[in-house]
Amino acid sequence: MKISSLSPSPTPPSFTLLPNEIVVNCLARISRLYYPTLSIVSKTFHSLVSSTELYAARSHLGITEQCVYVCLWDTSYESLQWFTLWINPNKTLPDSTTKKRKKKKKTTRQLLAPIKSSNFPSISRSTIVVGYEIYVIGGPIEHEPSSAVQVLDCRSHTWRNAPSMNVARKNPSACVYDGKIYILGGVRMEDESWAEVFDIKTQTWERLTDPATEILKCSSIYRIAESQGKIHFRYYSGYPLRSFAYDPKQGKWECCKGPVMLLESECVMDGVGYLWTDTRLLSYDLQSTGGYWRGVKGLDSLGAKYMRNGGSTDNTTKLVSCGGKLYLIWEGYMNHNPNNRKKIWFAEIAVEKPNGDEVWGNVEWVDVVRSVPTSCDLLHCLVVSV
Amino acid sequence: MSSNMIMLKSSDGASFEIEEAAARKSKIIANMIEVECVDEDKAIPLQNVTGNILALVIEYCNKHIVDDDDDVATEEASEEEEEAKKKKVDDWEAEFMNSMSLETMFELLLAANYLNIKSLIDLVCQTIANNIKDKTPEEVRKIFSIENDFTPEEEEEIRKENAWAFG
Repeated sequence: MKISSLSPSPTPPSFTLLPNEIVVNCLARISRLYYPTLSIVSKTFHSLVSSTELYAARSHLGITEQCVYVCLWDTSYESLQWFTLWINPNKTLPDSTTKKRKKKKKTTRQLLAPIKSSNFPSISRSTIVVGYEIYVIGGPIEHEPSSAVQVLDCRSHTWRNAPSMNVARKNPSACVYDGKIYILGGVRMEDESWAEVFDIKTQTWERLTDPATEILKCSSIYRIAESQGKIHFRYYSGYPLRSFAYDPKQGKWECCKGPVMLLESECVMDGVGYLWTDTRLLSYDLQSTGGYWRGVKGLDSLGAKYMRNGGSTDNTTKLVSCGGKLYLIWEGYMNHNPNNRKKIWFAEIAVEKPNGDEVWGNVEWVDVVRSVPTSCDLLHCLVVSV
Repeated sequence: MSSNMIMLKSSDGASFEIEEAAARKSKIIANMIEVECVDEDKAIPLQNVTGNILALVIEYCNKHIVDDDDDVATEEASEEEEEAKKKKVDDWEAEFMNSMSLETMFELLLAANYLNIKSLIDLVCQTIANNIKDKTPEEVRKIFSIENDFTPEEEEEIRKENAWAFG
């Protein structure tokens, strides 16, 4: 049907006529990866994409996405920068035709996008993810312990101060369970509270009774994790597989019999623990009894690529699970390095058990996501649901 | 249950007969029925909805009256039957949304919002979301006639902030 040119052309109704609630309902259904582009549409869009209403709608609709957050620490300037892994949704994976790579400039498909940094100078290795927030807990701040806690809201990328701990700590161990954050160790003096607990709802700290000296060691904790309602942990030193636990229900500390395989895993996905060691990905079925660590098949070329591109046990390598995939992150850095640059590599690995038992991995992409000065260290790599 | 029929009248004067159960999908109309301000002989005037959009709203409501009744009627229905039924509705909705332009979709959303039909709002929002996500800011503005209220400097600033996304 053609509209006669004589009829007055009606102004088309504008989206802005809709209440924000409806605009939010639309935006909430779109992946976060598109928000940078959508924020340019108008002032309303710009403010809505980082608004709490939008994220409330997302969580109401059950549309949360898992995102990788990375913190790099520039050791020469003592400065920290946080990033989020951004995968360009408008650029599909290069297909096999890219073999005949022409002079065309390589388009970036994934990169670390910087987010607003905090002025919090702590380089504590102690971080905890609670929902859409990242807690950075304690010191060191200028080499000294600290009781300060700062929180990054990953929806709006804003920072806030949380109440300080009772005790100043340096790289304490942290674990979240049942709405509480458990903080162990990292204290300077023996007569201070070794552990304390933070109630996330009431935002208050409470000291825990100290464990017996048998459990209380001066060395630092290797890994901490919650399992079956208890906070398990083990130390770097001593008999390697001996672990301890705190039982929050009883308020008691205990020694565990036998190794807790969860504590040996770098990340857990669908009941399987994973660990990157040397140049191999290992898996352990945490639900089976009497299992063992076995290599994930199909990743030989990733191992080779890892080595060729400066991955080594001396350089930080991290493994996280995000959105049903594993991400291997490593600092690619060679001793012979004329440019003084370090590359941050990411590999996305899909895992499956095609015949029930053996775990197979498939590298979906592997690429440099950022190039940084060699003085930068990969401090944190966390997965947040927003 | 008797199926009372009621009349709706669009802003451009078109009248539509609709089953009360279907019309109750709209919270606004349901409210009017509750407080008995519906005169059986008179059509309910809907000043913000044109005839062609109201026809779509009615088509949607008619398709969805059964859903509500089903809760009681099909208690015994097996899981597969439920699933098959759900798939049928999903397919119908996909087809229904597919048949309209973004402009129509947008008018339908305005109408659904005015008439307060929650499930239709959600359906249209989802379809709009699927359609606008990979559009450029300029395209989104054009489709929904959104005025760019940034000054060139402000827009430049935001583009710079997220420069990595536009490389």
